[in-house]
Amino acid sequence: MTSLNLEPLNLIITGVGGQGNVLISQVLARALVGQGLKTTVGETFGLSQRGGSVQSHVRVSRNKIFGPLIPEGQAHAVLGLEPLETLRVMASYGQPDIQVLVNARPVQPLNVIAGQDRYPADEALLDALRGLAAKVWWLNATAEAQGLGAAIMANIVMLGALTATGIMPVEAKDLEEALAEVLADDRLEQNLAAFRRGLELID
Amino acid sequence: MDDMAGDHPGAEVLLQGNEAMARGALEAGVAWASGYPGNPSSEIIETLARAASEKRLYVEWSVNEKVALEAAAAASFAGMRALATMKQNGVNVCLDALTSLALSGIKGGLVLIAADDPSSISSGNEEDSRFAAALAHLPLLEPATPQEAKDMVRFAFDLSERIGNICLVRSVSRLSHTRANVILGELPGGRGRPRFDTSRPFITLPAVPHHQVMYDKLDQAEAEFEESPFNHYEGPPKPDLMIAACGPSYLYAREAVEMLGLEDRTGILKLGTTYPLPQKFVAEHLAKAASVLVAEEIDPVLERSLKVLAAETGDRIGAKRFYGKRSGHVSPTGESGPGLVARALARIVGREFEPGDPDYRRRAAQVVDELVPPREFGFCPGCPHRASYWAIKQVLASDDRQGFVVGDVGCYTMGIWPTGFNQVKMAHAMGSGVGMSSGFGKLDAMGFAQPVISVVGDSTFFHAAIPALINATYNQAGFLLVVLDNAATAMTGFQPHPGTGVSVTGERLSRISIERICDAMGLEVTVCDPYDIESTTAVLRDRLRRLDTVRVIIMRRPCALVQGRADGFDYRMHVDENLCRGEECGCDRYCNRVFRCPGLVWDASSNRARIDEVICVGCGVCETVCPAGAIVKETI
Amino acid sequence: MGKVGKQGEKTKKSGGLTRLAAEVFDKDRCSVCGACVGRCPYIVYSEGRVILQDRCTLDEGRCYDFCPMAGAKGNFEGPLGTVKQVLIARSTRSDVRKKAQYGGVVSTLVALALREGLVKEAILTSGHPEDPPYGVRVRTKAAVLDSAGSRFAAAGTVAALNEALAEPGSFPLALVGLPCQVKAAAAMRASKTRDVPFRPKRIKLLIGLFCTWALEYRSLSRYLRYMLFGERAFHYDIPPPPASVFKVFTGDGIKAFPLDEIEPMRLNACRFCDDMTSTRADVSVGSVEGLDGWNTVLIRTAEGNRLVEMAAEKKLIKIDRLPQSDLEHLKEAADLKKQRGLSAWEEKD
Repeated sequence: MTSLNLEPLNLIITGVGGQGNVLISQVLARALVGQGLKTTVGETFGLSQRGGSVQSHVRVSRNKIFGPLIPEGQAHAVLGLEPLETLRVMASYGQPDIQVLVNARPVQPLNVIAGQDRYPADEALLDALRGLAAKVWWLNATAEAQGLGAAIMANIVMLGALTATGIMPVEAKDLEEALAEVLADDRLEQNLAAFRRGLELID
Repeated sequence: MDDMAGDHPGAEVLLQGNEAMARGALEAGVAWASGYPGNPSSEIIETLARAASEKRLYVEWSVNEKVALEAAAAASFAGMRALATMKQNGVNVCLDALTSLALSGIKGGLVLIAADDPSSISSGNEEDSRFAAALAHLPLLEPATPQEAKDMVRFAFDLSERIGNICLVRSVSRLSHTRANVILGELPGGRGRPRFDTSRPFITLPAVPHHQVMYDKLDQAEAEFEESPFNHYEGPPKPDLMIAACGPSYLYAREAVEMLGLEDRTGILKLGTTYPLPQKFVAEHLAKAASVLVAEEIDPVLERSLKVLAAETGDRIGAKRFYGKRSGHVSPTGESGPGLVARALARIVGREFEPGDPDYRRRAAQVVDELVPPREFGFCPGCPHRASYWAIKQVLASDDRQGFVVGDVGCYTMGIWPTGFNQVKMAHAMGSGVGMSSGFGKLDAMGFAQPVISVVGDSTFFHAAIPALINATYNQAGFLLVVLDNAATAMTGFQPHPGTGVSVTGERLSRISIERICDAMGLEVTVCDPYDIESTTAVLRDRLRRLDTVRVIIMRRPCALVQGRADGFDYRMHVDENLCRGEECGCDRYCNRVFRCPGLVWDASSNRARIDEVICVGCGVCETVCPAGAIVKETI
Repeated sequence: MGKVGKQGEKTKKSGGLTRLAAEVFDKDRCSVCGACVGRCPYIVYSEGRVILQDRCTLDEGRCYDFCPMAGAKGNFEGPLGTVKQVLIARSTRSDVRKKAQYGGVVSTLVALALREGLVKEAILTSGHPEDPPYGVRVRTKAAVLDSAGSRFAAAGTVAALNEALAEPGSFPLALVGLPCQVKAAAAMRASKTRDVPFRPKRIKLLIGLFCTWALEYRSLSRYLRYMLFGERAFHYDIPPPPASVFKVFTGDGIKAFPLDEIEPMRLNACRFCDDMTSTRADVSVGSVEGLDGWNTVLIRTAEGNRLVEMAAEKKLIKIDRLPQSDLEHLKEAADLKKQRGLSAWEEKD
């Protein structure tokens, strides 16, 4: 069993509304509570689901219930379902030791589509991320998910990748158990495949 | 989920704040739950609905919060425990019923959960609903964690029954939508049958004596609050500064004190029973320090109560220096957070406070500034509202009378933004759009010549628009009513309403037809499919010329997210690169810049528009948008 | 991107929709010629008005290039511009004369050009005066006659030319229009653009009409609906001075309205127009003062001359001399408009 070394451990899951960050934060939190840990997840949803930025603040402790918002500059890790949102979150909550997993596929903001703003090139994004983190995993989770039948499962792939990094005090079997509790039976197998694919993405 | 309703007292499970409150109601033996969807409260009813058949409770999405409260009151009058849930705006809607009920009193425990939305993360306003407690003279509880939320709701039913009046529980988004460990309590055994004792009527008259009775009930609650486990003090016996905190702000305060290392100088007075304040308990602790920082959301409600208390007990507890929203140490607007409380604290004690590593933050801020564009809100790909507003935009632009759209509350409120082509020029409360249009429709006699289009959703129609529509029709106000019928209460999570034909617990019910209601008023009604831009535009153009009376167009097409889960869409889209004009004269990226659908993006390498196949759902509407006919739809 | 057009037009600076909006639309100087309509989704024509539905951000565009009210003013010699020959003429055919406003010369020339294959299609303005006016694309004599008669309201006719030009194929085109419309079409014809399928050389024939001012359709329509109590009008006329009336022909007889009441409905743009006789056309056609049933014809180019001669040879028209005094009156009237138009540009905003 992976142990909890930070007190609390602060993880932010971020993305664009509709990418399913609430689902994976819930699954992760269930697995953590199942390990006997105190977990608080602060969510942003509502209007932000209509194409806006969304965040889940996950705080893990051995024995204390922490507030639902991570203080600025105190995130230990970011699981980013979208590159811009990942950088955005790091500006408010990051610190030099932060570890970051990011799904490389852009979701273009409407203002970028409309030509008012530019979407940075991959190299610029990766450079910026590396400049602000101790470790960056740049993953093609959407492509992997598409390969397994549905792009929407990119979040599950990322959850697998997060698990494999060992940042969170949970193991793959704990997550798979939580997935089985949360997902409907007919979707479980496909999602487990996505989760396991995510595990493989980290060496 | 299962955890919430499971009969496992003592089990420690992960629950969302709303789920925990639902659990608290179950543990109290609730028999009735009603509300109207409203972020951040909606999950309470949804959670109870899932447990309804097993726990034999009645759960309902009512047409509006006033009816929800009244219907819940009926259950209470019949001796059953009842719950009404809503967001801050819902409290406004049911205020008349609330103040009457507070006068008449109730029987079975009746709890009203009001969930506020600080920072208006998903609301049309930022409002603090706690005023209702003082207004209606009702006890108020403010939980800080999901565990406490469950325990307080459980307690609230008991308190309500003991004093014979409604008990208010106030949540905020950062509680309702937060998940955390909750230890479950016991579920009760069976309950009795509803029965109304006709010898004990619930009336408000004569009002003056009843008013006094309300005060007496409050005193009774206050007496209980003096010993409440929901209030406690933590910290040194003689702190330099006391932080009085309620709701999740308590957790922020605790963390702020730790961040600044002020544990031995700062005390935290955590208050969960915030109206009426238990005078003795609070005075005893306030006496400990000369300075008090108040941490709460949103308005300085607790702050004012404490100041009154301090004024009344000043001779005993000494003069106090208060810090908070009134002193400018805490912002009067927006949600709170650990950093914000830490900043206030640091300022009071004369410390510098810089969150995190300053060099890192400077570099990160620069990166974001240079590289990361903002992300505007928008309609989902395939949203019928995008198509409806597109048709409205074209028609209003080619009409020369400076017509405009009056909006209302729902996903379609986003018509105020570029995603809805900035068509909507005003948006207020549920049904306000129709009420205002009724007003505009009578200004013609004074020379007003601008045609008005009132846009209202299907759920909003049932909630509040009908009386306004009757007013308009009867008074011969002329405007175009466009009902955007996407067969759901979409923004809040696709809850059913009387037009959908299904209940929150999944029963099939007889749909109530919007057309027939309008027809009954003698109004001309036309149903259009917003995806069919050409026909819809033609109908809009015609009706806009005949606004001597209210004309109704129902734009009917299910919400894209609902369609996506059901039958899906009909088309596969692609852009013919050879026809696409791109940035040239004759286009200038019209589809990207003006139509603005997230599924229709720009490919910088080919200098052409492109369909993003991960995002595009295949609704086919963009085909009519391209001036070069380069967007092609293929039926699948 | 400056161009030197025919008859010494000053070079015009380039611009896009932003400039066009600032210089023309926002100053209420749009003459509703339709030259900017139909090339892009930002500008549409509806019932007598050109409307900006959205904003384009490009710095250069055809909308600005071809707009007769944007950029340099016209610059032509004398009050009438280049004229090779002045005549009066009228159609010899009764079916044409019956439909015509004056002498039926325009309809005759257009029908002839179509019949002889000089052009495949002609852009005219739609027929019935009561309905919102718009440019029409015709290919037969019958269709030409349907469009005969003055509309008096600006119709965005050039939009139809744009539509024809956007179609693949090289079929040659003619346009009959008011001075501003002809100016726009002439600018298109002279354009060096290499846009495909837009091929300027397809504009083979421009027939210009005399015009002092045009009316705004929507105001005129509202006025007449009110004044005629629902009677339908099928023809309008403004007799020459000293008459000061606007004649409306209805099923219930001819009604005359004081010109004073009609004048406020004139397009503001017309104040800035210096061209009464469509100086950029191949042939310009108008009425003859004091002589019903005849047209004044100004032949300006070789192409125009060929067509008029052909019509005369085939005995489709009868021609005659314009009396010198009439010619002087015409020049005076044209000069008056020219001076007024040019000085309007000097006005402070």
